[in-house]
Formats: sequence, C-alpha cells, structure tokens
Amino acid sequence: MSDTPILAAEDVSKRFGSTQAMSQMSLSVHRGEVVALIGENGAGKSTLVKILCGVHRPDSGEVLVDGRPHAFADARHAASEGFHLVHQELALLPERTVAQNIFLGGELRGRLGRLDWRTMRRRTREALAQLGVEGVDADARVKDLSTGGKQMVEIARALVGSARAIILDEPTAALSPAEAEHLFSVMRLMTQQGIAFVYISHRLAEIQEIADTVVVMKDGQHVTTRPCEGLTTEEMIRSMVGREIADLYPDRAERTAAASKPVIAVQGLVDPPRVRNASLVLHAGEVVGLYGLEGHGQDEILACLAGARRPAAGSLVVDGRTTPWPDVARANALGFGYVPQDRKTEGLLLEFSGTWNLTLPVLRSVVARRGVVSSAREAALAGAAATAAGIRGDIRPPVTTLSGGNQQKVVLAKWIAARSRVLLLNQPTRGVDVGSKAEIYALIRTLCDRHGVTALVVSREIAELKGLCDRILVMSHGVLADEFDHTAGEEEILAGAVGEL
Amino acid sequence: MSTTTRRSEWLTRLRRSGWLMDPLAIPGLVFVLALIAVGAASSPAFLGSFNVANVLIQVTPLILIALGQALVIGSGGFDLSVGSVISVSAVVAATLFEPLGVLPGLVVALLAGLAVGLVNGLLVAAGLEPFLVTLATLSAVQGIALIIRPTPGGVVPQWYTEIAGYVGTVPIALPAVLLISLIVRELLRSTRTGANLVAIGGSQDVARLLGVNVRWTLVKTYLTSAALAALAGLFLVARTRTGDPTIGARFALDSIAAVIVGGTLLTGGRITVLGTLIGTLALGLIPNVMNLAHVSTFFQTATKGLVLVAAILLPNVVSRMLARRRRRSEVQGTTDPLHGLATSSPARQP
Repeated sequence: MSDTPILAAEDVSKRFGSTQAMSQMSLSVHRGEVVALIGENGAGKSTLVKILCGVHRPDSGEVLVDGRPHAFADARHAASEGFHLVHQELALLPERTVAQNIFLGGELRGRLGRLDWRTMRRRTREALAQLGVEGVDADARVKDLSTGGKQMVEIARALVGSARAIILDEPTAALSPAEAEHLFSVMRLMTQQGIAFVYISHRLAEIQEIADTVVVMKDGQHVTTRPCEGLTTEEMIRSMVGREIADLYPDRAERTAAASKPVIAVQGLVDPPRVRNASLVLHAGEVVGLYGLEGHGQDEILACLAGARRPAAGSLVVDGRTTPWPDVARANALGFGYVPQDRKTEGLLLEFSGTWNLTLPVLRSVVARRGVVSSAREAALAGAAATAAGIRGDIRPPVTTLSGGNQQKVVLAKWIAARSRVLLLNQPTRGVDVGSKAEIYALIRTLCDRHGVTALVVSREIAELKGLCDRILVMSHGVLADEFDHTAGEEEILAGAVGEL
Repeated sequence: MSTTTRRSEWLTRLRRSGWLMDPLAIPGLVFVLALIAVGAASSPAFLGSFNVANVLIQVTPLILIALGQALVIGSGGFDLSVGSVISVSAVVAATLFEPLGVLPGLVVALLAGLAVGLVNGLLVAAGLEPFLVTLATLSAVQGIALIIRPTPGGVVPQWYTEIAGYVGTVPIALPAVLLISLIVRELLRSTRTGANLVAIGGSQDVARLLGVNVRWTLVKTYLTSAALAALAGLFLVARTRTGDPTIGARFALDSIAAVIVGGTLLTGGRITVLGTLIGTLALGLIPNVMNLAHVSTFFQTATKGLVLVAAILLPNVVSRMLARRRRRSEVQGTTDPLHGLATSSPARQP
C-alpha cells in the first residue's frame, strides 16, 4: 500500500432538493485495499460512492485521483480511468448477452468501424476466467443467469477495462452464502493484483472477513475510520447507530411448543424441482425459523403456504381441519400473511401510498356504503397499523419516499391491519439497517408472544434465526432434514443444511 | 454424450455467426408455413405466379415500414405516425413531380417525412410517452396531407411507376427492400447506435448509467422509422400512380402487428429483423388466403384480428411449455441450482 490514495473524496457535500444528503464527507482508498463503508439505510453511502464514480457531482469538496483533484464528467469517464461502480440494482439488460452487457456503452470497433464482437467475446471469456467463473457463456442471455452469475458479469465489466478501484454497493444482499464466499475469494485475488475495493454491506460478519479498513457514516456525515482488525461487530453497530443496542434481538417469552395447539400441519409437501419432501407443524405463538442453502426449497415452502405456488403433492391441515392448498385470496382468508423476499417487486406497489399498500389486503373492510372506499376508515386503519408497526415517516405519499426499513415495516404492517394469524416471512430484514432490524425483530416477537400469532421465518443468516426464533427447521436438498433449538450452534445448523457432514 | 456435445458446439458456432434465426421468430415462421399450407389447400391459384406476385407487391412497402417500427418498438416505444408519414410523403411527391421534377420531388417528400421523425424523436427524447407523441403527430400530419391534397391526384410520370413493376413474379423493388433489411440488421449487430438502441429498449436507466447517449439515439431511431415510412410512401405513389392523402392510414397497425408476429419483444430490448420479415409476410398472406378461401370482406376484418391474437398467443403457449419441460428436467437434477458459478459449494446435488 502506497501512501497516496488512488481514489479519495475530500470534504464532499451534496444536496438533493431540500435535503442535505451529505456534508463534509471524506473517504480514501489505497492500492489493493478493501474499504468497507457502513451505515444505516439513508446514511448516504450510495450517494458517496456515486460521487466517487462520477454519477453525481459534489456541491462542494473534491474527488481526488492519485492525490490530485479530478472531476469525472460521468460514470463512463470514471470507468474509462479504471474506477467502476457495481450497482446495488444490477445495471444489466436481461435480454442481451453477457458480452453485449459487459461492453455496453463501450463497444470495441474493428475494421470499417464495425463492432468487433469476436474480440469482445474473447475478452469477456478472459474476464470471466479471471474471476474463476465457469459455465457462463459469453453468448448466454443475462436473464438465464443466477443472481451470483449476474453479479459476476457486473464485476467482469470492470475487468475488461483497466480496473484500479471497484466499488461494490451491497453486492451480497441477493447472493447465497456460497456465492458470497466465491465473491470474496475473487476480491482477495484482485487485491493482490493491486485493485482496490470500496465495499458497502449490511452484513457486518462479512466485513470482518474481507475488509482492511472500516468507514462508518451516519446522516451523510463521517463518523469514524478504523482498521478492521480488532473491531468487533458490537462496536460497528454502536458507531453506526450512535446509540447502544444492548441486544439486537428481543427477549423471548419462555414457552413449551408442545403446550400450545398446532395451527398448521404440513405433511409430505412436494413442489418440484426444489421441494422433494417436507413435513412440519407450527404452533400458536411460535416463531419458527426455516433455514436452507440457496435453492434448497425453503423459499418454495413459504410460497406454497402463501398460495403463490401450487404444490404437486402434500396435505395441509389448518386448525385441525384438512384444507386444500390455498391460492393467494384463500391464504389471505385463512389469515396467512406473506412477506416475500423482494419488497420492491413483490411486497409493495411502489407508486401507491403507504396507506393504500397497508389496506390493500383488507379493502373489503375499508369499503363503506355502496361499495365506495371510505378514505376516513382507510386512513384510520392504516394509521393504526403504522403505529403498531412503528413506521416513521408519512404514509400518505408513495411508499418510495420511505426509507428501506420503513418500507419493510409497511409490508409487515399490512398483515397487522389484516389481523393475520400466521406470518410467512421471507428474509424480513433484507436490505434493512441495523436500527430497523431490531425494531422488526421486536415487532415479530410481540405479535407472537402477545397476540398468539405464528411466524415462519426464512433467512439466509443463521444468527438472525437463532436470535429471533424458538426453533429452527433445516432444509437440505429439498427435504426438511433437521430441527434445532435456538440454542444450537451455528456450525451445527449449517452442517444440517449442507447435509453431508 | 460426445456427439451431443459436438452438435451443441456446432450450434453455438452457428448462433454466434448470427445467421441462425432468433428463436423468438420461430412461432411466426410456423404461422406463415401454416398460412401457406391453408392457402395451397384451398385454391390451386394460390401458388400461381399471379397470386405470388400479388402477395409480394403487397408486402414490399410493409417491409420498409415494419423495419422502422421494429427499431422503434425495440427501443421501447411505438410509432403510430408512420401511416401519416407515408401519406404526406406520397402527396408531397405527387404534387411536386410536375413543377420541380421527379428527383427534387422525391427529396422534398423524404425531407417532409424526416421532419416528422425529428419532431417525434425530439419529443420522445425529452421524456414524453412515445404512444402519445406519435398519436399526436399521426393526427397533425394526416391533417397536413389532406390540406396539401384533399383528394387523390397529382401527376406521376410513366417511367417512375416502373419501380412498382415486376421482373417475372418478383417486384423490381423487392431486392432493394431486402437489401435495406440487411442494412438494418447490420446496423443492429455491428454499430454502436444499434447496440445503444436495443439497450435503451431494455432499460433506459441502465443505458444512461453506462454512458449511452439516450436522447440522440432516440432521435436517430425515430428519424430512421420516418425515413423508411417515407420511402414506402414513395413506392406507393409509383404503385397507385397518384398521391393519395389517406393511403398510409392502415399501415401503422399492420406494421406493429407484423413486428409482434415476427417475435420482436413488445416491451423492447430485443429485435429480430428476420422475424420482422416473416411477420410482414404473415400480414400479407392473411387477407390473400382468406380471399382465396372466399371469406367475405366483413368477416375478413374480424378474422384477421382473431388470427393475430392466435399468432401472438402461440409463442406464449410454446414458451410456457418449454418452461415446464425445463422444470421437469430440473427435477432430475440436470440443472445445478448454482448455475453459472464455479464454487466448491456443498449445495450441489450429490
């Protein structure tokens, strides 16, 4: 590591309309260094990296390249000098091929000014090989790739040019543990070649694994810059939130599962290709975790119960009565509330107000006389649910105006408004800041402990399930293989999911 | 196993060469073959040279319009104004042939079409909805055509009408039109403008983020569509020997239908030129086959709609069937859930 940072932001400030998104923020990254940038949602991390990579211009302050002030005209300009931004929402075109995506905006010309696809395909293959990616054809359409594969295409985009620094905005949010692990080994390889990384993530354990330096932001301002070594997760959380979180996870009421009555019993569920055999029983007031490696069927079990998928075989017993597998409307009537994994495409109508989103499942009950929706009743119902869920912010404008954490609370709160008895939660804290996480955990726990609601939670983080749930079911290769108490060790649970140890 | 590998390698190479048809165009091709089969079965005259020539001359101008429409749809838009551009270029040409001479008349007619394309392009590039923009120009430009020449007329020299003539059963203009198709295909495959156009259709945000000049590309797209429509108008002047202010009216919908039957994605982001030619042929064959099968004119219009719905539904049904087959093969463990990533993950099926 040399002393002059290859890329730095110095005292940058940025204002969007009336909101001061960033003030006097500084960050620098050296050759071969991995700088983790952390902070709650809305802390300004994405704004900062967009300034670093020329997407936004700072109102004041400067971007320095090799210690000298250097203004990028746009993202293309920054990329041409080796500074690449891998976006949180992947900037890919699903219908175009891998090679076409990688060279988009910077296609190579050959003889007669024609685009030279032969060279571009070769360079694509080389970049993918350099990343250790196998089985991705340069001519494959991007829509046919897995999320991990898509991520690699984005990173390969940086590699076909001359990469000096790559900025990753929450790259692992949608990756499976195996895919994330692969990404890290690729990053380590690239840092050895002198490429630097700025890395945004909410997963603090990952940061400890990969980062050299940790930069903490809060409310658009710099909080602290510290070497990663010796920094504990608790310390990171404390500096991000600016207040003590004694415990991320709520206390749980002591219970004996056997004592309460079964609410849902699933026997022999088969949903090809991923679910081969699953049987489970959920009791009133329980929070049950469902863990599995990516693609091992846990998402599908949740979707079957929610009515979003139709299983091929299996019986469902609700409150002691055998019931046909529901469709979405019927699942709703049964009191099942589903929180899908992607709130932006599946959980919310983004252009609708928070109020409308909250009352959508219970439109019938907000309808007043003559089939007309009563706005008064609607507002009252939504307001009550928003208060119960602790949503901060105005729920009247489109939900996009709320922060990620509050958006997620809207998804959850609509089932509070609907008085759901069973919550089917797929990664309920995905892409949510630490403060909101704790609040969402507490909310789930309260609903279950005080109101007898049953929750089935799918998560990619074992620690989250251990902290939140009473017991944890483990899927392995499409079979519900094992069950653990929340006191079981992470290694034990992972071994159950791997199914081979 | 090795034979299948070799065969798939061979297929891959063929696909890369760009001469293999986009799979999206296959349903359209099946549809055209079915139309030909029905036509041949219902009347011996169908494959006769008179009828073949008739279909081909019908199809010739539609190809030009549909190519432009394919570019616009591929960029994520619609061009409803192509019909009015055809009409205006036709009346301008027929009106100016006598006072100015044929060549100046053609140039002015083409410029009139380009002017409409420029307006469309600038307004769409400014962020207005393509559907609304071109609906507005459709109306305005149709009005202008009717002001210039309220009824069909103008003087068209005899020699100019020859471009709508035949060599045998093949329209003279057809090879030129096919050459233009090849140029469009080459534009899409081998120029930055083409790549940018398709990228914009896939996602304007992504394209902008990666430094594509979205506005200028959109302007060029609508200019091209208008230029091709104007060319079609000039062909129709030769064919009808007059400047008819309403001659283009039906072409907007026919061109959109041809593009979609051909397989180009209505949502943008993927264009098949060969498919567009196939779709155009389908649109030319539908009325022809129905004529020969003695379907009355009123029923023809209704039937055409039904046939189009069927042609558009078919690809969906097929793709759903393929998806189901893929799902079944996944059950047998042939598809790795981590497809696309080389990891030593334990998640793989044993």
